[in-house]
Amino acid sequence: MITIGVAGSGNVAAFVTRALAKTHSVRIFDTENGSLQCDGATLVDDVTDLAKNADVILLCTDADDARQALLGNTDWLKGSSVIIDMGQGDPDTSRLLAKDFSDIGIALVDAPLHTENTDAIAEASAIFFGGSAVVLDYVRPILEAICPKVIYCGDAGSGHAMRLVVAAIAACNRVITYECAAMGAKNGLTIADMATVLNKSSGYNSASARVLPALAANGRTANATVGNCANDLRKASALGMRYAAPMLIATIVRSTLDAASNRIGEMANIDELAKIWEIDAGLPASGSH
Amino acid sequence: MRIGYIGLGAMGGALARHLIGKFPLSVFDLNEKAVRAFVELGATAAATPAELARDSDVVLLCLPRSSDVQAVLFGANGVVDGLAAGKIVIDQTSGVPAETNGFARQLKEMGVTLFDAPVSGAMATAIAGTISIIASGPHDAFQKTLPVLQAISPNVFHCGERVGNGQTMKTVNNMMNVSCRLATLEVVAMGRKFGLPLELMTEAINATTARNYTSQGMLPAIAEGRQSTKFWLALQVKDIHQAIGLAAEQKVPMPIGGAARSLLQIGLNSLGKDAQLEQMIGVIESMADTTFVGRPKNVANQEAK
Repeated sequence: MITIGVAGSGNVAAFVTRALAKTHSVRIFDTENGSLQCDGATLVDDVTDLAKNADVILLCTDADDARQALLGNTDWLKGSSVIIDMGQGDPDTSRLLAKDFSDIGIALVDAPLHTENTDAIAEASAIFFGGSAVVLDYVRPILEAICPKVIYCGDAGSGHAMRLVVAAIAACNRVITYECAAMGAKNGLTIADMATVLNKSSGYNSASARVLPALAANGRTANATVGNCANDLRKASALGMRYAAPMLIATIVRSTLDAASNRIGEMANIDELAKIWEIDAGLPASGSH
Repeated sequence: MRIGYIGLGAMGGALARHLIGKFPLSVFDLNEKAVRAFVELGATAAATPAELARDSDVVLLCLPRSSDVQAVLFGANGVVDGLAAGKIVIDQTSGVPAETNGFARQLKEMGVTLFDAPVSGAMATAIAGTISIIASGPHDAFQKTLPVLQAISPNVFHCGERVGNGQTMKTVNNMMNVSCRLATLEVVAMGRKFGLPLELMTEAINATTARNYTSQGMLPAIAEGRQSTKFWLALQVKDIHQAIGLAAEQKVPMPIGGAARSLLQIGLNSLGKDAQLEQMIGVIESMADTTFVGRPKNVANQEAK
């Protein structure tokens, strides 16, 4: 059985560890000491120990500094051959890093997971793989144990680029849905009617399909945070600026999410974004529509 | 039930065709060619809106703007000259809700019920008879005319008793569609500049919470070289102006709607009044200096230059 060494922290890392521990031997190095404890997995104190006894290393953290610290020093990776980066890196940096790692005999591939709700991972989530197709053949069973949808995107960095495209459009879907629904509600439409009509019309998007019925029923659609969502949009905006690709709407969404993160906290669930529009449009609070 | 239909343009004509053979139908349009085509199919041509209203129990309107509705209803030889108590007027125009509500109040004084039932969907769905009809207004009149609306499409929604709610819903739908459409195209253009293939992005987007009407319809069409919309850009700009107006009246901030409106206005100004919505694809491509299909012009990191 392949042994997987998971280094990281955060909610997604905890989900990944739980998913892998069902079918694989898993060793964990918690970069923040606390969030990754999992029945069936072995917790290690030393990252070098993690690497020495694992066939594949999987980095999974939403903390950029921790991710950069792990990838910035290769000493602990001696003897390792495959590193899967499931965090969200800058695609160009990932390209360069993959080349550097290749020079010392390590295959560094990017395989970030896009999900808004790990409790419904099979419905609208995917892993975007960037790197050698041969490596993908080797690690595909590992990735599919986490998320059934794995998409090969091309060379190293392509997975990170694809996830930024997906994360940016997904955030636009959600923010546009709140903005338009606020306008409709303030003009006398019920959320329930909008949920019925818009999702059978050309206004349909993934957020309207989930968020509007949940708002009408005072339910939840996600377990992702506003802070992580804003961080994705900052990276997408940076990539757009670097490649001279104007993204007027995604840039407004990035600003909106940064403002929301400052107002309701970066750890707030993205479903709580509804509060922002309720306040800013002068609507009654959720549950009273 | 005798039906009269006024406004046989691209959308109105497609909707009215479903009534031929199902109800006695009279039609009116300033375009004589459009009227002749309906007469050849068995409809009766009315000389004026007033004559059409006199010969109909239910009058449907599908006109470019609320100002056109006002003219057809209350102008010389207008619909009101042929109306009588008990008759019903259904406005399928993408009009201004408050103005439509005002028309309804005026007609109510003569015992006539007017309610709105605009449509939402692509022209192909209008032709196929599957378009969404979003009605609002008095329930009794809606129920009485439901067989007429269902003859046009079985996808009929009723959004409350207040006349104008249907048009508000359509406006919300338009705004949501346009904002998601332009956001999707902009971000995909960025992905193209990085070097990601359109087909692969389409697969990734549609597998996840990024999916929307555009990713499911327009992106595959671009990849296959097909047209996916048939709509005047100027009318789209009008619809979005209406949405921004509704938001402003109720003091609802719409920063994204404002950006989407600006992008459409850039398109209309640069392409001219005869432009189609479909041509916004080229506008987004040119703004990013890339192409959605084939080899992108600039795959290199621009900062490195």
